This record gives sequence, C-alpha cells and structure tokens, in this order.
Amino acid sequence: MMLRLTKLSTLKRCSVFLLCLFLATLLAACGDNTATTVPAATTVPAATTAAAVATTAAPATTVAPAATAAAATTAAAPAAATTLAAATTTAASTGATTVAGAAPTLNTTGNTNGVTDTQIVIGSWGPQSGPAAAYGTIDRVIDAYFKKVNSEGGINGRQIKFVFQDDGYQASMTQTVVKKMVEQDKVFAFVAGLGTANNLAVMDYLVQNGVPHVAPATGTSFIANPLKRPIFALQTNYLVEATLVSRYAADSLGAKKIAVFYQDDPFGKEGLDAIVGVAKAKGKEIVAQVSYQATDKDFSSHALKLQQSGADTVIFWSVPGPTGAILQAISDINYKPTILLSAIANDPSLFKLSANTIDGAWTSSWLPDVTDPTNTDPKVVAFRDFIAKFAPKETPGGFAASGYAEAQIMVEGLKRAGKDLTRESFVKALETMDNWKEGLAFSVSFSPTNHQGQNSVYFMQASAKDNRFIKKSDFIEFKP
Amino acid sequence: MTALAIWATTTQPPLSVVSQATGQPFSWTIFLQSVINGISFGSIYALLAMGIVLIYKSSDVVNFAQGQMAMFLTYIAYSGMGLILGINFLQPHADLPARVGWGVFLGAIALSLVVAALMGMAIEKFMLRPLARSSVLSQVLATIGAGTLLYGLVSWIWKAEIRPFPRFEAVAGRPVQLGTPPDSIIITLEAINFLVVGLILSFLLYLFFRFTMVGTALRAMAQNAFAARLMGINVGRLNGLAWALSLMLSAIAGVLAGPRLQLEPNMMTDVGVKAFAAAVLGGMTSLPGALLGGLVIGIIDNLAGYYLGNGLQASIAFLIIILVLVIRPNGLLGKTIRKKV
Amino acid sequence: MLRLNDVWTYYGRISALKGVSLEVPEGAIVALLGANGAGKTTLLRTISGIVPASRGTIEYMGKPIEKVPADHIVKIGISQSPEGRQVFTDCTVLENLKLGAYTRRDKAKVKTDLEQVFEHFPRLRQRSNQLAGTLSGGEQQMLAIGRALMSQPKLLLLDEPSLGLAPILVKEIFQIIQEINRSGVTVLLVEQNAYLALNIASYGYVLETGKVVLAGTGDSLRQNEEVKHSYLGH
Repeated sequence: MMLRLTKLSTLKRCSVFLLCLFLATLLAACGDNTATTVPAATTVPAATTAAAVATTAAPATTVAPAATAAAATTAAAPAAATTLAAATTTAASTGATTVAGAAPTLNTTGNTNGVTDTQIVIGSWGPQSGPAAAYGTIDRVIDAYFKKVNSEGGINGRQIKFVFQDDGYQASMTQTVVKKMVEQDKVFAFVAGLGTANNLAVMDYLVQNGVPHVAPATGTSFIANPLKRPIFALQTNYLVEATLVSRYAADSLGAKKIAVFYQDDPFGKEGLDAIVGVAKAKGKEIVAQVSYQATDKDFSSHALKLQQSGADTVIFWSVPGPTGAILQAISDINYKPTILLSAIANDPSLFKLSANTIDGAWTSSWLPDVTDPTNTDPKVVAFRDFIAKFAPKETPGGFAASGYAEAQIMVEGLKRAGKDLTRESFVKALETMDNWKEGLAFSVSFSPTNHQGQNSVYFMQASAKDNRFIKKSDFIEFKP
Repeated sequence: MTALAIWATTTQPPLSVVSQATGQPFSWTIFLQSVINGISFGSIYALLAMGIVLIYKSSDVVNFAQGQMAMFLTYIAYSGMGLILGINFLQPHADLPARVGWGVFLGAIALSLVVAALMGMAIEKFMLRPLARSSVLSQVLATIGAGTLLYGLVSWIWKAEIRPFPRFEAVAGRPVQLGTPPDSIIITLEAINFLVVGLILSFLLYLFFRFTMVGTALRAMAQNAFAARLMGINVGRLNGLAWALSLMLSAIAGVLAGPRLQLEPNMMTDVGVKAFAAAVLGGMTSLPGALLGGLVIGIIDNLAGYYLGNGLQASIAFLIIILVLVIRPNGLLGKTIRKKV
Repeated sequence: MLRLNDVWTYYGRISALKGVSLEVPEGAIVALLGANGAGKTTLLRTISGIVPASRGTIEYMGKPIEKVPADHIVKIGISQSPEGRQVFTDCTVLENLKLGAYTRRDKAKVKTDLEQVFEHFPRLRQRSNQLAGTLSGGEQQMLAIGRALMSQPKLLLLDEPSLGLAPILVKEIFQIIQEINRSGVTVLLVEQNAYLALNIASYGYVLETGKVVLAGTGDSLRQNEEVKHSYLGH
C-alpha cells in the first residue's frame, strides 16, 4: 500500500514537471510558425525539446543585424569546436580560402532533383519562432525576392518554388527539416541556412548528397575552409574580418600595444588567432588576451585587466550584450583606449546597450549601410524600393539586407547555369563568378579553388551624436 | 583546497606576488578596486540569495528559479516604464529612454513589486501547496519547471532580443574617484546604490523578523511548522508571504541591476547561480549569512577573475558551492540544519 | 462542550481511530488513557484540525467542527499543548508566548493574559528573554502549556504533560492544571500516568487500538480491575 502511494506521488511530481516543460515548449513554438510540416512531437520528446530550448537559447538572445547576426550563433557550436579550431589554424596560415588539389565531382545520384522544365525548388531553414525568431526576416525577404524574380518571368523559363522551414534555431531540428526538404520536397539547393551550429550539423549530409548550399547565414570560416564542393560562403568570414580589423588598427589607427577581449568559444578564438597573427606580422605587442564566457555579467575585472595591461588599442571579438557591458565597465574606470569591434557588434542597439560609451569605437561591415538615410548608392536604393514593394512588412535593416544579398547570389548562379540545370552545372556556374558587383554585396568571387565569396569590409566609426555608425573608409579587400 | 589557496593569496599577498594572468606586480589599488567591484555585483547576488533563503527557511524548498523569476520581474518593471511613458514596450526595438527619473523609476518598481507579491503567493498556492505532500525533490523540480516556463513566456511575449534597460537618473552620474591616477580607485554611484539598497533591505528584513508578529510567526514556522499550526498560524498563507517577500527582493535586484545586466531572457542565469552559491555559503538558513555570502562571492569572483584568469571566474561559484557543501555544510553563519518534525 | 461521534481517522490506509465517541462536559477535566499507539495523540490532532477526520462528527458548543481548518480551531477557543512540548526553540520565551496569542487582536487583554501565565508559571517570567531551546524539560512543558493558554482557550487539550519530567515537577504541573481548570477552562488530558490523571479528572475514557473500551467517572475507573491491572500497575 505504501509502495503504491509513493508511486503515485512520483507520478504527480513527474507530471507537474513535464507539464511545465511542455507548456514552455508550446510557448517557445508559438507565433506565426511557417513550419507546418514539422512532425508532431509526442509529449515526452516535446519536454526534452523544451529543455533544449532553454540550454541552446543562450546565444540566440544576441540579436545583431544582418551578417553579424549569424555570427552570434557560433556560441552554440561547442561540439564543432575541434574541427573548427583545426580549420582556423589552416586558414590563419594560408590566408583565407584556397585549398590545394583538384575539386572532387559531385555525387550525381538524383542531381536534377527539384528541377523540372517549369520549376526549381529551393530550400532554406532558420528560426521563425522561439527565442531567435528575429532572424526569421532573412528567409521571408528571400521569399519576397524570389517572388519578384518569378513575377519578372523567372529564370530561364523556370519559376522558383521556395520552401523554408522553421528549425527553432536548434541544430537537432535542423537535421530533421533539411533531410525532409531534400528527400520529400526534392529541394535542388539551399540558400542562407542559418546558424553556425546548425550549418555544421547538416554540412556532412549536404556534402555527401551533393546538395548545394549558397551563402549560409553565418560568418565562420569553416563554411569555405576547407573547401566543400557544393557549399559557397558569401559573407566575409570572421578570420578575414579580424585580419582586416587588426591591420586597420595597426596601419590607420596607430595601435602599438594591443589588447584583445574575446568570447571564449570558436567564434572568439577565430578572431583572437587572426589578431595575434597580424600583430606578430606587424611587430605590434599583444599586451593582454582577456576572455569572457557567454553567460558572464560582471565585467569589472575584465575591464580592470585591460586597463592595467596598458594597451592603447583594444579589439573586441564579442557579441552585442557583453560588448555593451564591457564598454560601460571600461568607461566606469576612466579607461579610454582606441576601440575596435567585431562586425557582430555593429548594431544600432549597441548605442543604448553601452549607454553611449561606444562613441568613437570602430567597427566594420561587409554589406553597405542600408540604414543610412544619406546613402544614395543605387544598389541600396534598389534594395529599399524592393522592400517597400515586395516585403513592406519587413524592417529594411541589416537582416533584410543580408537575405536580399544572399538571394541575389542564388539567382545569379541559377542564371549562369543556363537551361540545362543540374547540381553539377550549378556549382560550375557559381565558380565562374569573378569580382561580381551587381548585387548588394560589394564584390563576389568564386572559383574551383575558392568558395569564399566576399573578402572585404569597410570601416565605420560610432557616433553617439548621430546614434549610428558613420562610414569612414572604402571597401578594403583581403590579401593574404 | 584550491579555494583556500585562492583565499590565502588574495588576502595576504606577499609583495613579490606576480599575477599569472596579468604578469604585473601586485598592487593594492587594483586589489581594492577588485574588492569594490565585487561588492557592487555582490550586493545583487545577496538580494537574490536572501530571497532563496527566505523560501528555504519557510518551506524547505530550494527555489532554483530565483534567477528566472527575477528576470521576469525585471521585464515587468521595464514594461511598467513603457506604460508610464506611453511607449509600446512589446516591440523588439522599443524606444525607451536611456535614463529615467524618479517618477518613472519608482512607478516601475511599484508595479514590479505588486506583480512579485501576487506571483509569489500564486506560486505557493497553485504550485507548491498541491505538492505539499510530495517529496521536497518534486517541489524543487516544480520550481525548475516554473523557471523554464517563465523563460519561454518572456521569449514569447517580449521576444528574445537583447534590450537596454533604462538607468535611474539619480545614480547615473560620474563615478567617484579616490586618489590620483594611475593609483586611484573608482567607485560608481550605481555600485554605491547597489550596496546601500542591499544593506537597507536586509536591515528592514531584520526589523520585520525581529519585531513584528508576522515576522516572528515566519520564524516560528521555519522552526516547527506543526506547532505553528497549533498556534493558529495559517502555514499556507505565511508560506505565500515568504514567497512574496522573496520575489519582491528579486524584483528590486532586477530593477537595480537591469542597466548592467541588460534585458534578455538569460540576464539572470549567471546571477542566479552566484546567488545560489551565496545562499549556500551563508548556510541556506541565515539571512545575514546570505548577505555576507553574496558580497563574498562577488569579491572572490572579481579577485579570481583578475588574478587567476576569467576562464575560472565563471566556474568559481560552482567550486564554492561544492566546497561549502563538503567542508562546512552549515555555511558561514548557518546553524546546524535541523530536520523539521 | 465537545462531543465526538463515531470518529474515524486514517493515516494513508491505516486507521488510527476506529469510531471514537466521547464527550467533554463544560468546566470538567476529562482524562484520556491508553497505551502507546492507542490513538490518543491522533485524537487530539483530529480535534485540532491537523489531521482530518474521514468519518464521524465532532461537535463543539453545538456546532460541527470536523471540517474547520486548524488555524480557525484556535480562534474558536480550542488550544493544544502538544506531545513533546514542541516549543519554538530559536525564539525567546516571550516570543513563544506571544505566538500563542497569534490569532488574537485584543492587545490589551493579551497583556493581562500574559501576566496571568506568568503568575501560573513564575519561572517563565524570569526566563522570558531566554531562547526556549535553553530551558529545562520542565520549563519547556510549562512554556508549552502557557503558550496554549495565551490563545484564551475555552477548551485546553493537553498531550502527555508529565512525559519525561521528575515527579516533583509533575506534581507542580498537575496542580497548575487544576488551577487553570478552576479559572474556567475545560481540559481534555491525555496521559499515560493514569493514576495522576484520574486523581484530578471527573471523567475518563480508555482508548485501545483506536477504540474506546472503557468509560466512567474518575473514581469508578480507579476502582476498575482492568484499569488497575493495565494502567495503575497493581
């Protein structure tokens, strides 16, 4: 009798716990969920998922614009740390993206998947719900861009059918939706699949099945390095960016003693390695390497350490939240070095997050500043017109701009592949893009030995008075 | 052992000590600055830790969701500011001002306190009271569940974007500088505010427990719930009161620390762990212990971060929890933990 | 004043009271005797509303109270000094006594009642600022009774007030119980020491495994052979 009672209370406690987790899952999964085809979860796995939401959501909360946004996701990729670190070392020594050896041919089985005479099926994934839902703009803008292309007659007589699914920003879910899109929806290629951990989770699957992925929405150098035949990176990767940023500090801003403040994960280390490499090459002293954990809140000791190092220049390889906090902590102790920030922190919210202590800091960007009202670059004007006409509900900011730029690469590749479209011909067509400047991205080049599309950034300086970053340089291209 | 070693090197540093992490000779100014910075955040840990202790003392439940509850209440305060200023606070890029004055600040705190009190009583009544006859473990699990639920709720209502939290005008001024650079110590008004509020609140709590009938009844209930019921004390209602008080402390902590922590669903994750460490260090049953524990954790955190490297800083709280549980389970000021009848 | 009619109480599936009926007349001292585990303490807890009665009725001053929650039972005038004293060890003596008056709002009267308790137990006055945990067993028993008196009860439930005390102290406490009774408080006294209890009780019940097996006036029970054999030790 006592035994049965004990069991009953165990049941009760378990059910209350599961109920809470389940409700949390429901809440996290609510909102305008485009993923109607995600398999219905049963109670127990749902509870597990909820726990996963709670644990993986940490990096998701950092919302930066456009290109920089996806970079925040690096924090979610501890599993990939080793591979990534290996890739980083290679890249650091070789420059950026070249890989020796002949390109392997694509797996040809079903390589016309998703292509008929009248239609091409293109897929994507990214969070449309849950804590990282803000990134959802990217896929919705791409959808609008393809609608525009279709309304103008499509590509080589074919209309684009765009399938994008909500993975809730969880790598395990990404695997499920990608497999489903490849095998059931017969997706021909992917564009702008979002997140570092998410990309790493499906990378092998896509490569093995020869499914192209154009312009993944992440900045890790691992996307293009080592070269993977069907994968084409667009945005300037962290490694290249960090190199350009530290060269700029040394050459144009007169840095002598440099300190680095970086996130203790593959994203941060990628930046740190590049910065240390440049300092060595230029004979500058690295006086401090101060790391932080993604969960840290009290940055007093970090600030103190940076100040005590005597650095005249501090480079921050950190995501927006901690960046805002450390900028305040530095200002609190009256430390005023030259500050350079990773493009991940290039977000208007930083002005408030840092209580305007960001004033005067430098940062870079790989996309033109679409939020600058004085920017009359015809490409930017075209982008604004497009948003007004085809995606009026979306904010014409960084997220939208990156989705737009990514979709343009996809369309250009499809155009170049011509009427006889196969995965093989598509990849070959992309590899013919050389210094292509018709899209929103500054300059895109692919070749059989290089799948890193853009290798340049321009510099901006934060102005608290104007409450935005002001462009201070032209695009600077990476040369090893 | 490690913690003892840290303690030894940080309290009585021989003059020849060279920090491994910074490679610089020991300086008392830096040491003092670290301690002051530690006290600043430590006061926030202390407020949350006192909340954890209040609940544990009254009902034997370890509230693992103190951090998430504080996070939720900070969002409430933020929304209160939005309401008062007539700004749509649900919008991800809500344009709240960087600084707010007395009226908005106090209004937001008031709203947050009211919600905290109601929420505390509701949690006790609808979540823990039905579980009163199940094991303590199941009640603890329920608090974890509630935390996860709040996390989801906040991500859903306010979205997960990181938002700046408005500063309280009165403490946003220039920091106080003692001495001349480079040998100067800097104290921000905000840090002073954290400590002063922390001390005032603990003093008020002391008065409440010592000199009011309800406070005495809470203490009595913590000692012997059965006898308390025989005195005509409504144990359920008092537990609800303990929860309400606990969450009100957390609400104040959230509003104070909001500008430093920035508003996001994870804003209190780290703070919650450190507060728990502070409560354990203070012996779980002692309010002054929790206050002291919070300050000590904040200081150790900063000293370890500076002298041993920031990689260790994140795990130092866990180290302290484990060490205290192994070496001195009753904490700094705790008495022998008695099992209730 | 108090009438129990066929009261059953369960702990889980185990019944501790199996249809107890008894009556406590106003102004009386009624003794409840029985061996360990007979259900005496359960009976008091049931009356106090700590343990719910699953069957039967409990009538107090003509009104059913078996569904009344514990905190309200105190308010309507039933107070208990529990087995094992159960004083609040980390509170002072004075705080313990004030907690006894927790449900009362008439502050002035509470003060005079406090004086009254101190008159019954002068030792408590001497120790009023001492922590209750530092008191001796006898003093703690006095405190428990005094604390129960602070709620201004009409019916006082006393659970084993002599347990573990030296004979001289027991005598003192039983004298005070009689004093309290004379001041108008009805007493239901649970005791293992049947001799002492029946000396001061006008009526008594004998409980065995959750049932009333014997009842009668104090004198008649003292004469009863069975009681003599089982509880009076001869």
